[in-house]
Amino acid sequence: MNILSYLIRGLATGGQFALVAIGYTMVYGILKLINFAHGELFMVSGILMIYIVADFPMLPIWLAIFLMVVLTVFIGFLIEKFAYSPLRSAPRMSVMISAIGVSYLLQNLVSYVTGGLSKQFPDIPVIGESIRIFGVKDKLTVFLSPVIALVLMVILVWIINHTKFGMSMRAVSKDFETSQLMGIKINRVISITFAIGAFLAATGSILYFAKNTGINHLSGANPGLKAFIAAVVGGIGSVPGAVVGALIIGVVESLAKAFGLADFSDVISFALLIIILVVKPTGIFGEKTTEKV
Amino acid sequence: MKKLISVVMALAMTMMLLAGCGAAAAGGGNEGLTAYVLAEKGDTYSLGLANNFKTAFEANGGTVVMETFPTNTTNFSDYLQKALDNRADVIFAPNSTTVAANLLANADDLGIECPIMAGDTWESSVILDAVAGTDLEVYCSTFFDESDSSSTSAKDFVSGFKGWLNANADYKEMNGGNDIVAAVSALGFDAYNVAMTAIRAAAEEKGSGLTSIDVANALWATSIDDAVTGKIQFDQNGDAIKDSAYIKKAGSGAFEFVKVQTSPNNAAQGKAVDYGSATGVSLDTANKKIVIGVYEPTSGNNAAGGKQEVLGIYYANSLDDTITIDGEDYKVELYVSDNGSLEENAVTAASNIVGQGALVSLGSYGSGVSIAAAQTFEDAGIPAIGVSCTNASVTEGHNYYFRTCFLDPFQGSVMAQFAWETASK
Repeated sequence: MNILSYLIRGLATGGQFALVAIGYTMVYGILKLINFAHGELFMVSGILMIYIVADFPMLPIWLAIFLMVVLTVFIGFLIEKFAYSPLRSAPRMSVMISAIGVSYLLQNLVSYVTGGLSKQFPDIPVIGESIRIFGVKDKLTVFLSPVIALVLMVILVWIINHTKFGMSMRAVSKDFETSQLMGIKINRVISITFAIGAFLAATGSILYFAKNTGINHLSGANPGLKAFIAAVVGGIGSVPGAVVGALIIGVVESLAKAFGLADFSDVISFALLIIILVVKPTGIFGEKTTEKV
Repeated sequence: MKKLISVVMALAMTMMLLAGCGAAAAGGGNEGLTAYVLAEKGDTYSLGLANNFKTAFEANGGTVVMETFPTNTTNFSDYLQKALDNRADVIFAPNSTTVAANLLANADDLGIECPIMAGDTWESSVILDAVAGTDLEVYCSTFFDESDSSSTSAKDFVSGFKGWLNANADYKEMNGGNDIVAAVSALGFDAYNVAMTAIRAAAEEKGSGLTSIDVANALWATSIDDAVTGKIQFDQNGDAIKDSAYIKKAGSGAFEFVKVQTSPNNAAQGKAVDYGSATGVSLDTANKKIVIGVYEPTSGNNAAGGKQEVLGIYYANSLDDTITIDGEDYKVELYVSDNGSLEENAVTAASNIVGQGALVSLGSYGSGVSIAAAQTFEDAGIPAIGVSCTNASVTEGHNYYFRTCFLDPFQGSVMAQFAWETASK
């Protein structure tokens, strides 16, 4: 048995989930909201790519990808504006229900447009090429995904810790009202956070669907759920945590299949979630917070 | 540092868990032929067919490595790697076309060289798209082949159906944008004609007093020699007595006929069961119309096949839509109820058909939804004729359910036989 091939594919899946998980974790960090529509946004960006390439065949592929990313970011922005922003002062539960609503809305819209049929993601040059590394044959995207996830993580952590915008993000995540008093435009910060999340979902969707090319309206559900688990395992609110959590989930599921436990791969992910929550309730990278009464 | 330790600990714990539980399960045999079978958890069709294949392949002396994956899985690389690790001579993956689209793409990435086989579901343009431009060798079993010219009824159906599709853009779109005749369309066509024959026979006997129970009784005695998919007669379970399946290979842009694989079927025509005091649905003498329910998935995972089945039924209805009872003409109307490919929708979708006063219902594509609706049809006293639901449990214990296709045990053993022959070469 070639364990290496399972490890590499596990890291790849983990890397792809990581990009989605960062979106969950960033929104949670700022709004304390589990954005359940995030997995669907990931799926919608894949579907957008299919329709852009099919409807404008004369567009070069890089322009199609650019257009898809811009549209996905725009949709992420719209979701925040229309579904979450009006509920800024509502209880957290209401916003979460709104997120579930958006998730079903996106699923059903896509089901309506595609007729529920699986559509084929276009061939993406370079990352869609099959290559053999260390005796493992697969598409380049498989080998690239974890690397891209780590690079984007480093950039994001740098933005959050070393830029003015990052500082305002951290401030907003601590306290809305105080940040506003300090002159931070919190709506702008929140919008940009959603845009970054959507950008990562779009990037993840290219890497993921270039490999798993069949997309239907339910294709976002599984990656969305796994990314959510990853974010919680890593410590929700922490960007490096989301990436590490996703890589762990990816590798563990892959190894489960390698050891003949394919039937239990989901069980193992969820068991891991429970173990982590019992041992360290805030997740691996989670910070202990004390709330003053 | 503390974080690093907890990461390492979590990984170590998981590895230990995996190593402990997995040691016994790992490793496959290398004697004789090996088949890798992959089925979807909770999918009645997929699991049923996979198990039937497994039984038949093992009976031949082969080794089977069988695994299941959870619904909504999109990455099958690890499963296929398992097939490579076990040096599988053949892969049998009887799953939905949605699964197949990803599975085949992943198989191409991994450079799988052994034949990949599945059941009737894979006779779809989705599979042709997935196979296009790859070196994959993909086979499926099915109920009918459009190039089969052994019977005049099949020939007439193929030419008539193609003309009808080409004359109507909407229907062509429903067929996947081409005029390829799917086997399920032929089965749908046959199922409609079986229903019409039974209603006519019941009307002959009961006149305008006929009920859906009379139609059910007439179905047991129905025998159509020149049906498009071969002779149709029901055995004591209500299953059409079939002895052959068509094997097709996914080529570039079309399915190529490979061979007819036969397996003897000694079942005899069944006798009508006692429906007791059930009253069923009466003939609508006021509006002079007969409703035939069409219980099919026109959305969801099985929408593509469901729509093709509906098309066969539409076409049959366009050729024959009037029944004369006691000297008066009754118009036959179709009522299509979408079950969305989901078992949880089954009762609602079937109840809608009952609510329309249907005398008989046709469908569905997919075994799970058919089984889930069986009780609703039985409670209403309406016979249902399954079109391409191949799981044995559809008719077992359901006296109101009939079907025009072969069963999974038959299909599984036929495919196991074919897989054995192909892999032995």
